[in-house]
Amino acid sequence: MTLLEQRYRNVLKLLPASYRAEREEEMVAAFLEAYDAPDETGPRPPWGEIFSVAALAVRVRLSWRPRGAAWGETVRLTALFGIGLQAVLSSATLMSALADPLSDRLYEAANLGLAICWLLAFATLARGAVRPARSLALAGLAFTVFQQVAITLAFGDIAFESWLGTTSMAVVAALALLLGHHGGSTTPVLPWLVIVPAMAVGLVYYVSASVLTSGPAPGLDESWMWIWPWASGEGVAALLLTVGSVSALTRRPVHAPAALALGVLGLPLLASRLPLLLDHQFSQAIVISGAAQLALLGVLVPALWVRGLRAMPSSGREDPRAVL
Amino acid sequence: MFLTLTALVGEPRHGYGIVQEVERLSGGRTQLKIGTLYGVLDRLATEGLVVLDREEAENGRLRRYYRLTDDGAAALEQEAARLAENVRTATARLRARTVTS
Repeated sequence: MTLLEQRYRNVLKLLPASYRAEREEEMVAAFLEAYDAPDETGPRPPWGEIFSVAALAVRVRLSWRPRGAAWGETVRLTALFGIGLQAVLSSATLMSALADPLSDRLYEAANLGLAICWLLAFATLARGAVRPARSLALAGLAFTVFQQVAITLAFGDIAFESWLGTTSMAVVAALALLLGHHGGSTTPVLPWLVIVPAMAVGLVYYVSASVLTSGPAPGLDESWMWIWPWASGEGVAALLLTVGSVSALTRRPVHAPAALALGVLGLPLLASRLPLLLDHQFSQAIVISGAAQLALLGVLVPALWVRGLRAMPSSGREDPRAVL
Repeated sequence: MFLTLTALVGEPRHGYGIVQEVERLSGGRTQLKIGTLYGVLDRLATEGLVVLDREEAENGRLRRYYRLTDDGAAALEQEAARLAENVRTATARLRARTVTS
C-alpha cells in the first residue's frame, strides 16, 4: 500500500463504517487513478478531496434520519399498543371490581387503581397528552407490579404466566412511553370514536368470560378448558395480537413501525405461553389449546419482525449494487 | 448531476471515467472530487436514474461501471429541454435588446 493510499484511507474513515464497507475500495481506486504519486514525494490527498469526503460523510449520516424516525415511531407505537392492551384488560378488571367486590380491601384498591390508571393513560396518550399519560402509566405499572407481588405472596407460587405476559408487556409499554416521546417527535391524536370502542373491547371480554364461567350447562368444564388459554389476560392479549398481526401483515405496503411494535410486544407474550406446556398440572385440553396458541404466536411474531425489518425505510441511500 | 448523467449517455463508465468525462464535457471547468462524485452517484442511484452495470478488476483495483437507466435518460432529456428553453429565452431577449438599441 502506498503512502498516498494509506493517507486517503485515513481520510475515508470520516465515513460511516457501513458506507466504507460498500464503497471504500471503489473510491480508493478512483482516487489513485487521479492522483497516484511515489512515496518519496510525501504525497497527501488534496484539501479539496478531503473536504469532499467530509461533506459526503455529513450527507450520509444525515440521510440515516428516515430510518431513525421509523424506529422512533416504532417505540411510540409500542407504547400506544401496549398501553391500549392494558386499557382493554383494565376495562374488564374495572367491571369485575364493580360487579363483584373482593373482601381484601387493599387488593381491591390496587385492582381499581391499576384499572383507572391504565384506562386514563391510554385515553390521554391517544389524545396526544403525553406528559399526563406518562405519570398515569407509571402509576398503573406500580399498581400492576403490586398486584402481582400480592398474588405471588398470597398463593406462595410465582405466576410465571402473568409475570412474563401482561406484566412484562406493561413494563415494555411504560418504558417505550418514557423513551419514545421527545420534544421533536410527533404525537398522533386518535379520535374518541376509535378510543372508546378500543376500551370497550374489555367489556366484551368481561361479559363473555362471565357468561362462560357462570353457566350450569353440562360439560362446561371441558369446554372451558379448551377456551381457557384464550380467556386469561394473556389469552386476550394473544387474541388481540393475532388480529393486529394479521392486519399488519396483510397490509400493502407493510407499515414497518406498526409491525415491529406488535413484534416487540409479542415476544414477552410468546414467552408467557411456555408454562402452559411445561406445567404438568394443566389438563390435556389446556395444553393442546395452549400449544396451538403458542404455535400461532410462534409464526406471527417472527413474521412481524421479518416483515417489519424488511419494510423499514433505507438509510436514504440505496445500494446501487442491489439493482445489478 | 446534469453533467454526470450526460457523461453516462452512450456507454457505462466507472468512477474515474465519469470524472474525466465530466471534465471533458465542461471544457475543464468542472473537476469532480471523488467524494462529490460518490455523493452524486448515491443520489442518482436512489432516484433510479443510474444503476450498476458491472464490476471489473483493473490492476487489482475494483472498478464499478454505472449506466444510465431509461428513467435517467428521460430525466436528462427533461433537464436538457428546460435548459434549452432558458437558452432560447435569453437569446431572444438579447436579440430584442440589440434591435432596440
